[in-house]
Order: sequence, then C-alpha cells, then structure tokens
Amino acid sequence: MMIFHHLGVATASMAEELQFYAMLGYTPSTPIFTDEAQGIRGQFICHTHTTSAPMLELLENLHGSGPLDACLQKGVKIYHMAYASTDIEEDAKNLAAQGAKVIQPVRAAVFFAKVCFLMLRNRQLIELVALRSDGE
Amino acid sequence: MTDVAAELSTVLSVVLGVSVSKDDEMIFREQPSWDSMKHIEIIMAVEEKFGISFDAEAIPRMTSQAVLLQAICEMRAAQK
Repeated sequence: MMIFHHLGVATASMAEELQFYAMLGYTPSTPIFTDEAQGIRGQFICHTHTTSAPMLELLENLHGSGPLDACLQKGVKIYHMAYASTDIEEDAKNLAAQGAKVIQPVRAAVFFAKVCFLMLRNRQLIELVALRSDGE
Repeated sequence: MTDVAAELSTVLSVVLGVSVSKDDEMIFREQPSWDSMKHIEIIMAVEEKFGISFDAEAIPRMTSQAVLLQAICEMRAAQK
C-alpha cells in the first residue's frame, strides 16, 4: 500500500529557500540530513498550523553540482512526489508493471529505511520510501 | 535503418535539447544535460516512438546513439 508522504523540492540553498516557505507557515520538522550516496543534503519542513498542507523535503546538492542540476537549471522546484510504502519492493514492481521505469532501484537510505525512484509514463518522478520503525 | 536512425536522432534532439544528426555517434553520458532521469526519458521516448519495450536489465546498457539504434532495429526485426 502506498500513502502520500511528501513533495520533493530542489533548491540551490535550503537555507535561502526556507525563508520563503516560512512566509507560508512552514518550519523545519527534522534536522538536516546528508545522503552521500545520493549526493544530496535534505530537510523536511511542515506547515505549522494545518495538517492539510503537504510535507516538503527541501534538497540541495552536496557538492556544488549534482543530481539536482537539471531541475535547478530549468527552474523546477517541486520535482518529485513521495509515497510511503509498506512493501517497497512489491509497490515498485507493481508500478513497473504499469509502465513506470526504475531510475534508482530499492536501496537502503539515510533518512528513510529504503528508497526507490521511478518515472511514470507521464514523466512524473515518484519516490517510494519505506519508513523506519519510528515513523521516519 | 536509415529512417530509424533519422527518427532516433529527432527523438534524441527533443529529449536532450541539442541538435543531433543521424550520423552522430553520441555518447549520452558526455552530454551536459544527461543524468539518470534524462536516460529514462530517452528510453521512454524511444519506446513510444518505435512501439517497443526494453527489458529493465537492458536499459542501463543503452549508453549511446549507436547502441540504441542497434537495439531498436533488432527489436523491430523481431516484431516482424
């Protein structure tokens, strides 16, 4: 089963972007984390006053240039939709059976237990995440 | 094969945003706009254009214009 979890936001600088999302009522909900394997640094932010606003994952390249370059060059901010999966291998398999292509197979992650990236036929990037036992 | 090569070069031009000729020998990784997402976009665009479907295991091997052209021709021949 997949349940919506967050939207991924590409940033050149998380600190700078956070100022703008703060205007909308967002504040950091996690510490900044670093994922060397993915070449990114990230932080989740949540809306302070409502649970109906989606959680956002601010991301920046770890080493100047990196996996977010294409989004940053095109001015794309929100670039992936993430779903929490109770069986990430099976859900990835099901999406692939419906035409999605695996960009990054299921692997252990830093913030989540496991992650996997797929692209739907409409070119929407999807991240599947397996939550840790503490909910993250 | 010539028509397929020309159609492939058009697909690559659109996806990568650069001019590509059917006679080029493009190595995808050498393109500034190439990354793992762009690679999948190339594969999807090719599948849709030529009515074929790559096995997941074959996708990482499609690293150049020449390799992709060869694979398309082989898959289309197998469909006949």
